[in-house]
Amino acid sequence: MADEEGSRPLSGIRGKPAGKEKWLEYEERREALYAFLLILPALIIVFLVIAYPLLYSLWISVNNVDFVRQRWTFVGLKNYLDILPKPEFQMAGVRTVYYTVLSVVGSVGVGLLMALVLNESFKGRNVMRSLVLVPWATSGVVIGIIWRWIYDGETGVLNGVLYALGIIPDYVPWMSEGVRALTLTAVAHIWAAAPGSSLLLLAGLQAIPPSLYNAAKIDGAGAWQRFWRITLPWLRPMLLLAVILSTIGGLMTFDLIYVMTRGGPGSATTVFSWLGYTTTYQFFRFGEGTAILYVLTIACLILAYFYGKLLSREQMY
Amino acid sequence: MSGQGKAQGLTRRDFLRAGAGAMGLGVTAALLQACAQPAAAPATPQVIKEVVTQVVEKQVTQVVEKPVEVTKVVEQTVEVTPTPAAVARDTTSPLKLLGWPYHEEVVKENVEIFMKQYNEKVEYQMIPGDYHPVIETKFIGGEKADVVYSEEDHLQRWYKAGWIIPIEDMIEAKQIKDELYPAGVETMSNVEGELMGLPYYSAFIVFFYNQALLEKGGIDTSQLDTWDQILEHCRKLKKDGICKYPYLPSWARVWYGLDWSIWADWFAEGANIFDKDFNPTFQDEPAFQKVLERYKTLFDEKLVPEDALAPGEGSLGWASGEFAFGSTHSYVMKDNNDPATSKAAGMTKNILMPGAKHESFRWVAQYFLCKNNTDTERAWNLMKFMGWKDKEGKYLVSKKWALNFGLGTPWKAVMEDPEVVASWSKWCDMDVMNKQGELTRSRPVDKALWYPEWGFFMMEQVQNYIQGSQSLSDLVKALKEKAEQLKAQYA
Repeated sequence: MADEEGSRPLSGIRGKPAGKEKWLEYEERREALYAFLLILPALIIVFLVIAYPLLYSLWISVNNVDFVRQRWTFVGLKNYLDILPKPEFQMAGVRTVYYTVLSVVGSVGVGLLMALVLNESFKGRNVMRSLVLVPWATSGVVIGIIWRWIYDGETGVLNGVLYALGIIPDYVPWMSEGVRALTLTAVAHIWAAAPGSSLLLLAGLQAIPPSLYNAAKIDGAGAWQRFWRITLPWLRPMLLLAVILSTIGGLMTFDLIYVMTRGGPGSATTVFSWLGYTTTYQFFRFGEGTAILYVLTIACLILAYFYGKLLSREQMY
Repeated sequence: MSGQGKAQGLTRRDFLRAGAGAMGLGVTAALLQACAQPAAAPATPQVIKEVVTQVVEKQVTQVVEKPVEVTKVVEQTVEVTPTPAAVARDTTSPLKLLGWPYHEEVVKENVEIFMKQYNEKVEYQMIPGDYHPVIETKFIGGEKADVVYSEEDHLQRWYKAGWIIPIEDMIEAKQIKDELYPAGVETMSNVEGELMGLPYYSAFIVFFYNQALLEKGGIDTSQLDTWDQILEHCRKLKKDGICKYPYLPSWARVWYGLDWSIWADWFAEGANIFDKDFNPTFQDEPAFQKVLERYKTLFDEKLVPEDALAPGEGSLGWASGEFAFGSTHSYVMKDNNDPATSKAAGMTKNILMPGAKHESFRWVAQYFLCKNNTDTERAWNLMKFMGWKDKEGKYLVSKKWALNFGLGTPWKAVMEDPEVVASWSKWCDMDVMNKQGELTRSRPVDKALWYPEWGFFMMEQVQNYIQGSQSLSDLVKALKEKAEQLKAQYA
């Protein structure tokens, strides 16, 4: 054993670098194989729980699947071509974009404000940092139920507060009108998602060297200038990450819609996720429903790609 | 691009194979196959060889000493449905009962009694949310269940999908039919006429008013016969400031909300929606459109709560005592007149549905016996207990629902039980209730495989119309096209 180990470097010293390289190559390959085998069980599990359902649903989306009568017909891209021109699909797309933009702007904006406050020193800061995470850690269904009660036209807290303050002359049925219902659902989403963004941004804020602020103060920079010239540029990578996560969260929202509006009144709050759900599970058109949800998935992938590009560019900064 | 492939039979195993094949991973396929539950035995056609021995008298001119014996092997395919005795019985696994949320504590109590009486084990699962789609998804996934709740509009659909089985051949079937009202038997039977379900409860849509508010508004309660009269009363009550929203409807987009309410209103006006072959006829039906226009009028004039279309109860509900008129499930009358829960207690009076015919929509929620059951005999015992009689021959469960919660039933003996009649008389006018009961009808179109899908679509479109986002003609056109498309799809 000792001889073997001793002989290896000798071969190189004796002018056989090619042999050493081959040996190193072999070692590297062996290590790579070993590493691959170690992660293989995890890979198989990841494949089964992520890749398999994705491929399976992709397969469903190119078929006409009738589970009730147990029929399965391959239709190629017909499901996609059928849904794209439908007005309900296009309107759902418009509502999804509206909801997502509101959610992203709101959750990242409020999250940034929360992070800036929580980054300051004040009594009870640690307790506050824990408390703000509660909405983020609460399930979507519970949040939906809470906000449905807040918005209730007869007994809701919102009406009670606004009425008591004299802001509204009479109770308002908040969820009775489509655009208002969608907007208020987005507000509930912002309430739940902003703490997550604030957590990311707080981490970003704490990574900014204090010396930069000290130098800026010496140079006479005001609070706004310090925020604009130091804080924001340093936060950009984290901001982009927060925007990516908020966008995906907004596009994929289902639980709040399910609990708060069920896509209504009428179809006024029907976004892609709800349309995909009802098409699949209420109308049992699995092919079309999966196609709708695949369009949503593709939209997420495209956005994630562009955000990723932006992020890598910012990281170079 | 979109070549129409040939339709073929589809089983859960096909699904797994197709998915695994697409991935090209033998390991995955093997794992999934291993995870898959074994296919249900009863539906599997088996090829058997039958040896038939024929004795043929040979017609020949020559003299033979004895008949010639010919042996013939015949191969044929037969479908073998094992009887409970023919398969190994599972007498140990717990039975599974699936139901929607409604007084789970009472259901659990009933299940406990069953377990004691029959020395059984039962797992009761309450399914929240969209009950029927969830159950269908469970069935598609191959989940085992023994007895499930369902509304009648899923009877034929689930039967044709092979998820539930008829109980027509059970030895008690004739007695059961004799003890039921004929309408109940019809509702709980499939298109082929086989009895499929036992009743969980039955009810219908009723109309009622708040006597105190009507008296306050000087409304003549003998003038509540038509919707023209009701509309005028609503306008007056609103104008006089007696009610902010005079009428409390049930218009949420759930099967027990708008779907049932609007059918009751269509029946009250005498509208026919589909013919006997499930073809839409509503497009030529003035009463159909009259009801829709009335809904819009009520909404536009704010005679109903503005959030009446939203999920939930729309507002505080009748118990607030703020509504003059209301319409909902018959058993809710009990809560409406319960002083412990309602400010309108003692003041809520039921009347016949306003309209040209005064008819209403009735339904029977049922228990079905699952095909994929643990053990048919044990599951049938559970179903009989929940939907018929306990081991001692008493209508234990039905009567409990009737007495404590006002749930009706198609069992004659329960509905005519003096104890039940006395109990109901405390919270409703029994004469009116009985008369309304006689003026109810079920929806024949519930037996179409596609009705639940049309119903869900209809509710969305009607809400859009009420809100003003589409015209009446567009609504009628959309509903007709959807019915035709679904009919063609399931043809």
